Amino acid sequence: MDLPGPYVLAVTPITAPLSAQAFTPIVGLNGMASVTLEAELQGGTGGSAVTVRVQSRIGSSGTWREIARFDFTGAAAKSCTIATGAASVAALTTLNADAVLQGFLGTDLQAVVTSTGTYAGTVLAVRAAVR
Amino acid sequence: MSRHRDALDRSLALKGESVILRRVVASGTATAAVDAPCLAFVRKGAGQEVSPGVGQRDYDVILSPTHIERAQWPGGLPVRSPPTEADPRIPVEGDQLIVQGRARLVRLATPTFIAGELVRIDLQVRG
Repeated sequence: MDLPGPYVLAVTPITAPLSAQAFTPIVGLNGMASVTLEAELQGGTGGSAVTVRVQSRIGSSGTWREIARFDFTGAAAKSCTIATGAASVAALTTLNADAVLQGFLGTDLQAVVTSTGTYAGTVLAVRAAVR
Repeated sequence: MSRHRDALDRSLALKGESVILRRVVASGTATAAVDAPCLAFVRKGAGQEVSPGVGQRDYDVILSPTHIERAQWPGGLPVRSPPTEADPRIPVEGDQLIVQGRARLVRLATPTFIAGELVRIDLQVRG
């Protein structure tokens, strides 16, 4: 692929509630064959929920599609690995809590974060190792 | 890419020093960092003793935007409407530069644009 390596989809403090806050995308990942995603919520006190949706699209005019969803109530770290190669048709839809869509890897990745309640001393990091 | 940036990249590949550009995001005791490995020209400036036996030194550093763009540093930033961020490729005061294994604080970043293209970033760092 063109640009294998580690990327940061979002590193941000979480304080006031966020309503589907999108982060600027990592772009130009042409030929991406697999990606390991890691989401970590440090601190995690005060609020009640953080949801991270990782999305991918095919080219800058493509539609963002959810490929992974991580749900937190307090401090935790979660990961998943997504690879291309699914042989069957999959519906592109919103994901349930802590779910993954295998097989769909476009050229761009982004994180969208929603939080409920007011967190204190909390940092969210979402990283991707792209191959 | 401009010839100015090409020339800087070639020169850095021949004679540059490996450094890490780092942005640290913290809230309370929770911290996370975003790194970009870069090549740089690092020139020592004045040193001073900040307390008995403890010194710090200023450094003048030249970076190419090529390495920063390669890492897509500093990663995803909250999308604002309308956009309020300055050029995210340019380090800001408080970012860190790891030089020879030691974190030093960015005090000033001066970008150079030629014909609308970012071709070079000069940093003043201390630590």
